[in-house]
Amino acid sequence: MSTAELEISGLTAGYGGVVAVKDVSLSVPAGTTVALLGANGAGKSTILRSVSGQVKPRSGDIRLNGESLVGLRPDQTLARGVAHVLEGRQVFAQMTVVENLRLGSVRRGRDTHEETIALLLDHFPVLAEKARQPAGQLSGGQQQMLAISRALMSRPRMLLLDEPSLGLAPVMLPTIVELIRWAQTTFGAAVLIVEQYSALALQVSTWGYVLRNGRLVASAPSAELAEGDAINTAYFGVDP
Amino acid sequence: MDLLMQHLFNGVVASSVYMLIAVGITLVFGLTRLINFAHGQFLVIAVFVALDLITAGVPFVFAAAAAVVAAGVIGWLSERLLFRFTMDNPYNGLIIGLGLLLVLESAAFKIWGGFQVGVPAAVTGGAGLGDTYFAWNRVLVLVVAGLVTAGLFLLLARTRLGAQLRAAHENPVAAAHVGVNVGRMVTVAFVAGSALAGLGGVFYGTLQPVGAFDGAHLILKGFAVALLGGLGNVSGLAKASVLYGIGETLVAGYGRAEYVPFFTYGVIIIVLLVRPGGLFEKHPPSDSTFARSSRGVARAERHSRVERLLGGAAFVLLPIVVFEAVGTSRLQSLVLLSVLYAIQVYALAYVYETTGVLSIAQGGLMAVGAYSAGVIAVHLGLGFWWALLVAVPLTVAAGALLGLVVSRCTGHYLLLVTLAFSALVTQLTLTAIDLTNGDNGLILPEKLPEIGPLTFTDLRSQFYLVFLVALLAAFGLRRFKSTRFGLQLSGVRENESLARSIGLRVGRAKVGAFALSGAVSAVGGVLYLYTQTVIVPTSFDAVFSIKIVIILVLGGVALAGPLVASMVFVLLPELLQLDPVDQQFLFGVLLIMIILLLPRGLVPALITGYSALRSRLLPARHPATATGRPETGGDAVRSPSELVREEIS
Repeated sequence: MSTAELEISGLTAGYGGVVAVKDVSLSVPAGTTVALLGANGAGKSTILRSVSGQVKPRSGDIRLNGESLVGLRPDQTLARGVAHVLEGRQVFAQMTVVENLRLGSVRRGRDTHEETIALLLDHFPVLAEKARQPAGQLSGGQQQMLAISRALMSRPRMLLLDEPSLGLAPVMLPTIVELIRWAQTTFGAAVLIVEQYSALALQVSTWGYVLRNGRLVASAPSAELAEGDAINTAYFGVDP
Repeated sequence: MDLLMQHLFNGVVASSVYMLIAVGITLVFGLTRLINFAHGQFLVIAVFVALDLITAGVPFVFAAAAAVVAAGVIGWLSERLLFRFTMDNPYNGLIIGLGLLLVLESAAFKIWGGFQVGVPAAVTGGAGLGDTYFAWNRVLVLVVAGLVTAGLFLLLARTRLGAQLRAAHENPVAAAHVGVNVGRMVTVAFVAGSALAGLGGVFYGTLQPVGAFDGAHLILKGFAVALLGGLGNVSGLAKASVLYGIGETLVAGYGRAEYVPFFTYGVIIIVLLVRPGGLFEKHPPSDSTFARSSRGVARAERHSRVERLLGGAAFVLLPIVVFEAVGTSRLQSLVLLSVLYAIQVYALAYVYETTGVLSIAQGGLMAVGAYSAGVIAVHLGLGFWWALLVAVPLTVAAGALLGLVVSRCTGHYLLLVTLAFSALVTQLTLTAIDLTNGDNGLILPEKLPEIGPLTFTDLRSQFYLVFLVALLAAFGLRRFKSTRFGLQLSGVRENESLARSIGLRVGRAKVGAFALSGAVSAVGGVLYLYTQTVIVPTSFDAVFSIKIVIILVLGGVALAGPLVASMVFVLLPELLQLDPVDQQFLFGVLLIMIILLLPRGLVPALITGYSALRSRLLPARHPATATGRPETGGDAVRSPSELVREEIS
């Protein structure tokens, strides 16, 4: 009996003639945060895209709480509890903050909908202040907050975060760390976070996987990874 | 004499109908970046359906409802059966739309005949107020169209469905990840847009008669409005519709009805020239999808020199073989005609290859060449060489002008502006009766000149002359690609913003390409005039331009492609003894099938087939190339959704 929320086994995926991820297996236990680290192009985002259905795996299996996600479209994986926060703050710039949030629950029915919005706006007074403004007018950090909040609107069991710190001012980073922790405790979701900025990812996670050229090269508790050389090896290609 | 109020009222009523049409266009465009050329024909079909039902005794309301449903169903079918397969490449979708337009036009003609019909108004009578007469029917149209449009606005602004549609419009990938079924939203947009066209059609039919072949004309009007408002921008549409509707009514009221097309095409061209994003658009939609996806027509694969020479020669010389083999002069003259077509295809292919723009203005350019030559021959009595001397610079200038407008806009507007140009030239040749003799056409009093001992009075000598010119044009344009200017054009085509960043003048390059293509079009046009001896405006209309596009798509851009495809295209209908309507139907079906089944063209497909056969029969000589070309970094520019589709396919 595994307690894993997400179980990826033997995943191979890519684009056109390029294989971006080769035979990767990993798991995210329920209610925990797991980090996926590696240099640019290591295949981190491809793994997230495979889980949420944006990319169809060549081979391998992806199971959410025992149910296979392979072959589903993003809107279908979302309906099963996977919320994917895309890289680069993908908010609907011309729609208001509240409209963005409402969209997050199109697959969830209306019952918990206003409640969740109230909860989120309560926690993020900045968003509440600008609730009726177009999302495009928010700052970068606020847009990232909104993107994550919108994902939480679907009350996901599995939250996928793709480079949440990308393009944000360093002063925003503690806020993002706090946001991820809050999301996890409040919504009880498991989190798989992809980051190039490994310090942030290791700070919020309990376990980390390191990818290099599409393959897993290390898997260890985050605290160990933070001290060891595995990350340097993965990023710079130097052997210890 | 206070007709102004009357014109304003009628104009506003017309606006409300155009609003319905343009909203449909913009709804589909917003979600798919696709301009559905068959959209106007949905309208026409709705008119016929409504009329049939009313004639059969069905009350107006139910007949109108049935027409709306019919249009919605056609829209739904076309999305499910055709456009769904071209979603990753709006350019192919555009061509599919053209094919569908041809098919539906000829089908409508077969079913309902060629007469223009109207829909009996739901209510008769009206009320006079001063000099202005308010017909109840017009009031009804205005009110219902206004209510429907307002309802649509509310739906988009206030409902969950509307929010999902807007989200899918703004960012399809992100929308999918928040749980929006983007595919279903596209279907919704198609059905709703087509149903609106149906309603617009019924109303339009109560105001003006409509015929089986009016689809193209109506879609251009709809585009003019949609463009004026900024494509994909629903709120700009209302203002644009009113502007356009009143403008058109004033032109027809104070000028002449024949001037209305000038107004329509003028609006399109001027808006694109001055405000490419539309009059009411603050941020023009970026549409980089286009630059990337315009590579539908592929180049030939690499083969050995001998193979290329043999294969090329076999194909290139095919017209001679066919010309000498067919017995009758009727068929021989068709082979000649096909080579005349091929010259235009080369001119079009050059523009397409160098700028990535698939122009529907080839007929327009050819008309400028042929008509300027015809006019000076008929009115001034000047001969062939004078004709060339006048026609070539004039057509080069027209091409440069077209290139100038084209270089100002991007994406779908390109196609639209070329179509408008083509239609504008046709309208000009129809209207300037003093010079062109209008519909009756010009009959050439001159003959081809002698060159030394050579005379060109019989069919055979004319064929060889035209064939030689076609080859010269093809080789000449090909050689030109390796010049400095040609290289600049390649750079522009590959990556426009990169080309700009290294200092190439993108606009100038495009103008140059169109001008050069204009020169070839002119020579071809003059030869057309001198071998066919009669020209009429419809010889070079938009349908002709579309034919040239079909031939290019059919043959691909390879050297022999245009020649072979033109022959198939010109001879096949004759051999099958098809009447023009059946021909049009066949062309439409052919176009759709080629895009869906052989997106790279018929001749390239043959060559690829040969390659596959060869690699199976012969061991690979170069192991490096046998394993396939190395992947270049092309992935970086593709959108994730395209990548997903590649994965699926």
